[in-house]
This record gives sequence, C-alpha cells and structure tokens, in this order.
Amino acid sequence: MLTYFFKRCAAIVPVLVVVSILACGFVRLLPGDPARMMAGPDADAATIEMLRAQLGLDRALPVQYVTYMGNVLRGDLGLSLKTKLPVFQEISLRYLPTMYLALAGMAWSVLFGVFFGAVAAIYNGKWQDHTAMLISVSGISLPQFWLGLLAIQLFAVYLGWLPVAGFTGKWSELVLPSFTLGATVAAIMARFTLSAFLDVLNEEYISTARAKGVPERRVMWKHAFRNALIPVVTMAGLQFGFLLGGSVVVETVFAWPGLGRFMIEAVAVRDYPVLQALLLLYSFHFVFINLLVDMVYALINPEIRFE
Amino acid sequence: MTDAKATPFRIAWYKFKQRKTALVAGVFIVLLVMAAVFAPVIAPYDPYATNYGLSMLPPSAEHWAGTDLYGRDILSRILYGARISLAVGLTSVLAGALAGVALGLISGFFGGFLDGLIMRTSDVLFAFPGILLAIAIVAILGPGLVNVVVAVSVFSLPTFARIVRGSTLALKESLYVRAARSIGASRKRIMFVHIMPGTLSGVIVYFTMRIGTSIITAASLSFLGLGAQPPTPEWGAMLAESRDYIGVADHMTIFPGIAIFLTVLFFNLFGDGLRAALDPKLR
Amino acid sequence: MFAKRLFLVLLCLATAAAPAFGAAKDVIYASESTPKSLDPHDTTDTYSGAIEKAMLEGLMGFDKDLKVIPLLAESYTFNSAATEFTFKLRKGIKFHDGTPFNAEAVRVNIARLMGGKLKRSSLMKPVKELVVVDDATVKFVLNEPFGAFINTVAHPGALMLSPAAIAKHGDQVSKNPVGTGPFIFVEWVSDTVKIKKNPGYWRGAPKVDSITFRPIPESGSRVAMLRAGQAHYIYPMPAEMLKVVQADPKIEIIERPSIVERYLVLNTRFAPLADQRVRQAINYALDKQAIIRIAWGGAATEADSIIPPNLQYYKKQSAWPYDLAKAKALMKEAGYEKGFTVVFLTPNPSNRLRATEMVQQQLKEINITGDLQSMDVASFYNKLEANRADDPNLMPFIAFGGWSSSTGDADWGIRPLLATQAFPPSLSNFGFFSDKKVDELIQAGLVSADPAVRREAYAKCQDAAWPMAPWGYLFVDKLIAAKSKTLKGIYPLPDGGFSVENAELTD
Repeated sequence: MLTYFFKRCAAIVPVLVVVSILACGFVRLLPGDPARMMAGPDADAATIEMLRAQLGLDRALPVQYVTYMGNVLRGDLGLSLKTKLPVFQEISLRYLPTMYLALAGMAWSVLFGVFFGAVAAIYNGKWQDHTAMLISVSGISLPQFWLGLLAIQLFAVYLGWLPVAGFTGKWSELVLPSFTLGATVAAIMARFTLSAFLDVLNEEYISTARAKGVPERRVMWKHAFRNALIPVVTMAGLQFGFLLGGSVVVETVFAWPGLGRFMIEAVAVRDYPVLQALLLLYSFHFVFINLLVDMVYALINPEIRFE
Repeated sequence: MTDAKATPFRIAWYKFKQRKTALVAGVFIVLLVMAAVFAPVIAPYDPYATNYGLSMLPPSAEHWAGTDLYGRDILSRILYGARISLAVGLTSVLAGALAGVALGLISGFFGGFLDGLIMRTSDVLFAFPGILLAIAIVAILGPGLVNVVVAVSVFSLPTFARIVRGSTLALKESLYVRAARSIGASRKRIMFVHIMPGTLSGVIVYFTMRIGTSIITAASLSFLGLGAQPPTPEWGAMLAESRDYIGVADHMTIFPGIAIFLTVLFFNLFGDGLRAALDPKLR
Repeated sequence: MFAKRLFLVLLCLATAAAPAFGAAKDVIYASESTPKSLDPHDTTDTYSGAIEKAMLEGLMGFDKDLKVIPLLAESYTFNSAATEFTFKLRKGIKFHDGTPFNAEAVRVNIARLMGGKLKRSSLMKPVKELVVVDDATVKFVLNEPFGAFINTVAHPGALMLSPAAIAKHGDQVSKNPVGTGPFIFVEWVSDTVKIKKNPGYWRGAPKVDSITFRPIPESGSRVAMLRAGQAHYIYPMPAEMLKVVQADPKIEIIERPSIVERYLVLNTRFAPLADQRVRQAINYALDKQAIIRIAWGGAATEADSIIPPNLQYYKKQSAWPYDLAKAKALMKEAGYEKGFTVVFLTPNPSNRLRATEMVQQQLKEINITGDLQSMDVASFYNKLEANRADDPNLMPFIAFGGWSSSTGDADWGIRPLLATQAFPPSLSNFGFFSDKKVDELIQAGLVSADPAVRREAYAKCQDAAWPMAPWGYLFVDKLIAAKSKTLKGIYPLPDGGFSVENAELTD
C-alpha cells in the first residue's frame, strides 16, 4: 500500500513541475517587457529596473524559476498590481467563500446525481429511466450562467424566497449559487451512477444472491448500491476540479466574493501576479485531489495496488 | 431482390436509427446549420441595427423574440449568433481534433520518450478544467472570439490524443497491421492508411460530444466579457446584457438561453446516439 | 466525559448565539465605485474623498448644499487684498490616535501638501507660506490674491491627518488614515472599507456603530441587495429600476441636484482627434437624449456648458444638437470620411458601460470604430493617470469620463480638466487638451478675488472652450440614491459624494 502511495506521489511530481513552470513562465509569454508589466503602468524607470533585479529577470530562466518557486514555498506570491497588497493575503480572503460554494455544490451534485442515477438503474427500461436520463443530458447541456440567471429570476425576484446575490455569511445566500454550480455535475454523476450500478447488477454475486432467495430490495440496497458507490464516490472527487472551474462563472452571476470572480477581475486589469498565483493554486488543487481520489480508490479496491 | 450488404456503416446506421432521440436531434442539427448558413436571408432585421425608440419590447408580431436594450431585434441576433456559436464550436473542436489525432498517432505508434512527453503534457492540460485554461489563454492573448477558439481547441486536445493513442496501441499489434508491415509498407503509410481509420470511430464520437462543451465554454467566456465583444450577437454576450433586466425584460434572458440549451442538447443527444451506434460495448 | 462534551457543545451554541444579543448597528453602503486611496492629499476621485470625509476633517467644510462652513477652524479673517487668511482653530480636539489637533498639526499637513509630490499638492500652489501664530491660530500667506481660497481650504484634498500617523506611515498613510472625524478607520480589505464610530467625536458620537462600504458595480445586484436587506443605502440608484423600487414599501428614493458632469475624454494627442472638426463631428454624432434615456434611465440632463448649471459662474451655452449629416460633412472636410479606429475605455459600472456601448454604436455611423475595454473605476483612473504627453505610444482612446468640482466653484471645474498645466500626472486633463486662450481665461478667473472679474473671465472661458469641443459632451447627472426606511441621516452630496455623520439605524 505504501509503495503504491509513493509511486503515485512520484508520478505527480513531473506534472506539478510542468504546471508550475507554465504558471511561472506565464508572464514571460506576454508580449512586451515582463518587468514593465509587473511594475504597473505608472512606475518610473528606476522602479522597473529594481523589479527586474528583484525578480531575477536579468538572470537565466531556470534561475528565475527556482527563485519564484522558492518564494512560493515561503508564501510570497508577490504583490497585486492593482491593490499593491500581497497576493497571498488577497487570495486567503477569497479562498473560503469559493470552498464553501464548491463543497455545497458537491453536496447537491452527489445528492441529485446519485439519486437520479439509482432511479434510472432500478427502473431500468421503464419511464423513470428515460426521464432520469433525459434530465441528466439536459443538465449537461444547460449553460451554468443561464441556469443561475433563471434561478435568480424564479426564486429571488419572483418568489422572493432567496437572496439575489452577494455573500455576507448567511446560509440562505449559499443555496442558489451552489445549486447552480452542482447541477451540471449532478447530470454527469447521474450517468456515471447509472452505468456503475448497471455494471454491478451484472456481477455474479448479485445473481447468486437472487438465486439464494434474498428479497429484491435487499439485493438492490445491500449489495448493488453499496458496491456501486465506490466508483461513484471516486468520480465525485474527480468532479471537484470541474466544480472549481465552474465556480468562476457562477461567482460572477451571483456576485460571490470568491477566487473565481477575483480571477476575472484580475484578467480585466491584467494583474499578472494574481493570475500566476491563481493558476498555480487551482492546478495544485486538482492534482492533489486526483491523488487523493486515487488513494481512496486504492484503499477500497485492493486490485489496483498490485498492478 | 439482392441482399443488402451488412457493411459496418449499415450496421451503425441501423443502430443509430433505433434511438429516436438521436435521430430527432440529428434533424434539428441540420435545421440549425441551415438557419445559420442562411441567416442573412432569413433574419428579419439587421442584428446590429439599433433603434433606441424600441428598447426592450416584449415579443410581438414584428419582433418574434422582442428587442434588446438598444432596440435590436433579438431573433435576428439569435440567428446570427447561431453562425458564431456553430463556427466557434466546430472550428475549435476540429482544431483540437486534428492536433490531438496527430499527437495521439505519433504517441501510440512510436512510443518511448515521445510518448511519455506527449502523455505528460496532456496530463498537465488535464490538470486544468477547461474553462480555467481558456481564461488563462485569453488572459495572455486578449479577449475576442479568435482567441476563444484557440483556447477551446487547446483543452480539447488531450482527450483526442488519449483516445487515438489507445486505439493506436491496440491496432499496432493487430494482424492487419503486422501484415502490412511484413510486406514492407512505410511507417507513414501504416500510420495514416492503416491505423488512423481504425481510430476514427472513437474520434467521431468524442468530436460530437465536444461540440456541445465548446459552445458552452465559448458562451461562458463571452458572458464573462472575455470572448465576443459588443456589439457581436453572440448568445453568451446577449445573456450578459440581460442580467440587469431580470424582472423588467425577461425575454432578453430567455431566448438566447434557450438557443444555447437546445443547440447543446441536440449535439449531446446526437453524440449519444453515435456512441451507441459505433461502440457495441456501451449501453 | 459526557458532561465535558455537553459543556463544549453548549459553549459553542452560546457563542454562536451571542451576536444576536445587542446586535451592532452596522450600516452597509453599496456603491458602484472602488476606493483608490484613503490619503486625502493624494486622492483624486469623489468616492475615496467622501469616505475620507467621514474620518477626517479640514479647517473648513461643506454643508449639504455645498456651502462653505467652518469646521476645525472656529472662524477666519482675511485681509482686503485677499493675500492673507488667518484661521482660529477650535480647542480641545484630538485625533483618533490621541494626538492633539493644533496649529502644529495644521503646519505638518500643509507642509506635506506643499512638498509638491502628492496629487493634491496643487491645491496649495497659491500658498507662499504657512505661519503658526500661536498654538490655536494659523495664517496662510499667499503668492497672489485668491478670493476662492476658502473653498480650497474646504476641499477634501486639504483634510487634516494626524501628524503622528504621517510620521509613522509616510506614504502608506493611505492604508492607515487617522483623523478627527466622527468615524475611525477600521480596515480596507480588497475593495471594501469599514469604519467604526468615534465615541469621543467633538460634535457628539455618531448613532451607528460602524459603516461598511462595499462596491457592487452591477446595478442589478446593487438594487437586489437593497431589496433583500443586505445593504441599507445604495448609490447610484439605477434609474431604469426605479419602477421596481418605488413599489417597495421598505425603500425610499432620494433625489438631489448634482454637479457631476459626464463627458467623453478625447485623446487629442491622437492625430484625428487633434483636429477640432473631428471632435465637433463626434459631438454632432452623439444622440445624447437616447443615451440618457436608455443607459442612464432618464436620470440626467444634456450638458450645455463645460461645467454643470449648479456650479458657481456657470454660463449656459447651447446644447450641442444631434445632427448626423453635419457630423459626416465635418468628417469629410477634415479628411476622415473613411473614419479611423480608437479604443473605447470605460469603467465597469453598468450605466457607464452601456453609455459607452451606445457611443460605440453611434460613432460607427461616422466610421469611428473600435473595441471596448472596461475595468473597475480605480483601475480606469489609474490607467488614464499613467499616460504622459510625450509618450509616442499613447493609446488612441475615447474614454467615458466625468468630474465634479468638489469646491463648488468654476475654477475647480475647469482648470484640472482643460488647462495645459493639468496634464497627468499633475491633474486630470486626460485628453491633453491645450489652448492658449482658454489657459489665459482660466488664469484670469483664478487670480482674482473680485466676483465680477471672475464671472466675466469664466463666461468668456466657457464661450471660448465650448465650440472647440475638447470633449464629447454628454450630460449632467441627476443624483438618485435609494435607502432602506430603517436608515436615516445618510444623503448624497451634489458632487456625488455622501454625508454619513448623522447616520442612524432604526428598527
């Protein structure tokens, strides 16, 4: 087990390295002089030169990379071009709202996704199956921002049940945005749950149980469902990355004070230090979540470990 | 009467026909493409023509989908928007497919270091969810639809590469290919004439499914202000304009959204049908 | 073991419930703009200035109708030549950090301004020296007679910071402002500023515990927050949603006359825009009534001079008519029949964005085309302020700008925008407009203390500048704010700022 863990860790290191090189070198890809860009438009020549030396832009590329990564590991992500505050500080302010949103979205998607998928599997072939699958395909086809606008229209403007936008710490504000975010993933989860469920239902131990005379309900619940859950749970973990990505759009629709909206604002004003840091942050999240999911899956499914 | 030959194409077509939803979706897609192509002819108004006196009118006989904030006819804008969405969707996936197929073939066929490099890079691209990668690319290149196409094709790339690589690996060892090699066919010939066609079914399926995602991503980017710029009649951009008028002019939110939804839905259903038809293992 | 657990749970519940008891009176002000600075000596935008005025005070101030009133000064006198102004300071006032307010404090602040490097240093240009007469008396000795000096002293650029804070923070005092005002600075985190009440305020403690200023540039979201009770006061209230809000019994609308004028900054360093005929063509091509109706929800009146009607020494010109044929003819005459490309810059609050889109649509008719770039208010002004006249790579922009003269006087409504001396970074002549005659007339109005002389100078100035079309003229705002009925005492000022010292929350 431990060897598997180390093997997987070793495997993600090159990915992390490449990702960090991309994020670091991101600014160099821009047309023009990076130091000028980072110093901001109202900096004078002296400041630009100072920044150039500080960032090591006059040294060789590998050295630059090492310096940058060294800074990152120390928590120094540079200063925002717009506010001149440390990027680390700006990010930590917005981290939690996005996490709340993503986790709540995950909750919705698992709840709805697994439910619809299970229904479709149990009633395989009947109208519930087709309806569930149609809903699922619709979920994938709905643009998240449109769903959000419609949800605001219905639940906030016309019915007045929920707040429209913003986040001041109240739970009610989390409902609409997280639902919107989770809807697409719910659709994906439903399809996946269905096929996982069906796969399990075809297994031998199911027919054995049935042959033994175990009541259908128990077969479904105790054997099929629980075994199908394993791949479903791991799939859920993988979808977390998708949720983080989708949060960008949802946060914009709901004026949510999180990382997603921060990223869009940074793009609008070309705040490169912030963008660099966010790219690093997001990609490291995905890589580590994938690792985590792999580990959980390996824990549950011993076959994988010995490949 | 002669027996119809059970060619692979015929079998696929038969299976495809069985899924009615896919068939209906296919018909709608054809209609959509025609609407897009003939938009200049069908559209009742110039999509860019403003008419400040007719701001935000609800649907009526003169304007079937109503007018937007600046008095422009929404139906005409939706029709022209179809051109944009389809063009962007198809082009970006095509670009991604071409690049992905090429890389996948090379990767699977040659193996070794090249394979490792290509697969690691696509792992990296996998590490980002599509829209973040797209935003990063747009942040570098600047806003605009062309850059959106570039961004979307980049994140479609890895999966195409993977699919093709997988098929290539399998086909490399097949009897068919070994026979070709034994008679001295050149590597290039083997790759493109013998292996590639075998990978196509997987590519085609994924291709159709990607179009839906591409259209939504392009619309999302435009909604965020990073894609199509005003006054381009792109569906996502139209939804961005409608945001402040929810409760005041709801038609501005509903019609462009329905357009995106239905288009993507049809492509997805069509893709599902294709998958069922071409891949016997799946449900 | 169990009892311990139970105790912890109860403790948690108790602490969670605690805020419900004696809920703090925190007012939430939802704005459209983002703050740029909280250092009054370095502030150029109305929004930042208004927040500063809640925490800091000057020798003189303005009342709600923009009339000058004594504040930290008890009284003042001046000599007949208008070259010496003596202020008697109020006694017993302390800054929030305990430093006493006295003549020395004034000296430190004025010296800082006169040091010349801050954005509002130009306010003190007329001053030759500041004399400390005694602990509670200061005298300004001017280089030349300047009748409107009292207005200058009342300008938010001359607010008083604690000398201890200046000494401690230097230029970073923008993030640590300390004053004598009714509210004390708490924090400035990303775009949100929070201030809390000053119990020892010399005019009596405010009735609310704190105020939080949150920027929400999307007008729909701003209104939604007000209706949902997540904000108590919003400004501006988007006029296109007035119908929706008027029907809401919990909300009250406030309308005030304003001195905010909106215009398109034309970069006259860009060859086509340097040609007066092109600029005039632009003005003929703008359908201002439509822009007002659709982008501004009807809450504005067409501009008919380079300064708004409520400003001292305004002289009405005639509003520039919408005449597309004439616009085309002028473009042809200037040799730009085929048009040219520009970049349309705009801050991102919804109404300004829409107005700029309409400008983009309308200028297309005379073949001026280009992409739109939008960003938050602070970044927009940073961008414009960073331009330099001698830069060969200046962006050919048309930018959606605006101005309100925070002194209530014509000088401050014209000089920072159109004088040659006012090129960035010095002041706000972002279009680099320069004309000798206009400069002379501005100067004539500046140096005199005689109202008759000033009136004539400014009349001539407006007569001269208007036809030159330095800008694309747009309109003068009607100020509309909206608030929850539980909030009293906050109202908008004609310059687009606000007064919060009498804020009160009733339940």
